[in-house]
Amino acid sequence: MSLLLNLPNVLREKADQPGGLRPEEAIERARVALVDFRDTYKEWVAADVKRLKAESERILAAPERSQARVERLYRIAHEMRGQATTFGLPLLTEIGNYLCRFVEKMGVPRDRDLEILDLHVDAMRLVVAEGGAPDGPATSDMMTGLRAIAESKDRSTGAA
Amino acid sequence: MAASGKKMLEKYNLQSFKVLVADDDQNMRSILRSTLEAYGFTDIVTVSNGAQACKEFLIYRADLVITDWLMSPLNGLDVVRAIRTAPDSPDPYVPIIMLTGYSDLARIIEARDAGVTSFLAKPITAGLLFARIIEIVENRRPFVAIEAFFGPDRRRRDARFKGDDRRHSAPQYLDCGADQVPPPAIAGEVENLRTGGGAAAALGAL
Repeated sequence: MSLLLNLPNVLREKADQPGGLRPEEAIERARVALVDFRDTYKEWVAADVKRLKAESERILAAPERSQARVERLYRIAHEMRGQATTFGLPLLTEIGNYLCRFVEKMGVPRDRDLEILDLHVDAMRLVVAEGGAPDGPATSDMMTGLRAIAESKDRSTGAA
Repeated sequence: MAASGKKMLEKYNLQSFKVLVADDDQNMRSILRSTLEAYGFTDIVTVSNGAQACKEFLIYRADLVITDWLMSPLNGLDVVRAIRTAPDSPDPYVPIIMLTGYSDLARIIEARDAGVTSFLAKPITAGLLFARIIEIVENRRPFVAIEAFFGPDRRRRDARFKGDDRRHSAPQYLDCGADQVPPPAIAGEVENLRTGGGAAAALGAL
């Protein structure tokens, strides 16, 4: 049996009351609120990238006990990638995506994999230290390299 | 124009809405609270994991749930399944936005099949989150109750459906009253379909 339940739209009735905001007003207010967060975000991301590096160093120091630490590193990077573009750091989101994708496809890590993770972490540290998009061909080379790693991992695991 | 065919509202008063936000990242909770307050929401409860979300949902009659995915104990998907299918869910029809750093297609499908109303990948922008909320306010999608699924209709009304129609029988269309309760004659059947799919533990047991 399949049932399709038509529900009354109580939320629309609730929203259709005097004193509301036009969409453009609401969005502008939110945009301003997010801009106001930028200075606070700089402190957050500096702390996050410090934790990220600390985790990576612990992983490299004791690779045989890395699983839980890799999970912690993943979670920090996962949160960072979900915030960075909102605050003007799209490169940080991109590198965070590469790092997370690498971990997802890593399986049981070899030493080389852990070094590659650390490479991603250092790339994120560079972006944070430079406050956005570091200039110059070195950055372009770095991103090309990270993309190549991601694509290589996709190919080796049969991902699209 | 909303999908319902009605003209969209010119203004939205969100002050009386109750919003439940679940995210394990303290910074993200602050960002979301500020953003939602800017939109006009005044009644916002934030929690830091899925288990808290399920407990809070029992007592805080949210009009909208916004949940992250990666949390513990209980992740966002667990929250969605519990709200939709737990026998003691106070409102299995509540709109749920999954707001997550995941963006791959497999996860989008998984979230949709768990019963989310809308999937939004982080990072957010002021405009995109608001647009999703307004889409939910303007367009109340019908709910599907079948053996394998209970949640918002997964077929978009404005998209042509390709492939074979695998619905074994024509669905029965039912209008629910203002209290969202299905007609008494069919309410029992709806409950059986809703809760019988082997969902996560009941909300109250968490």
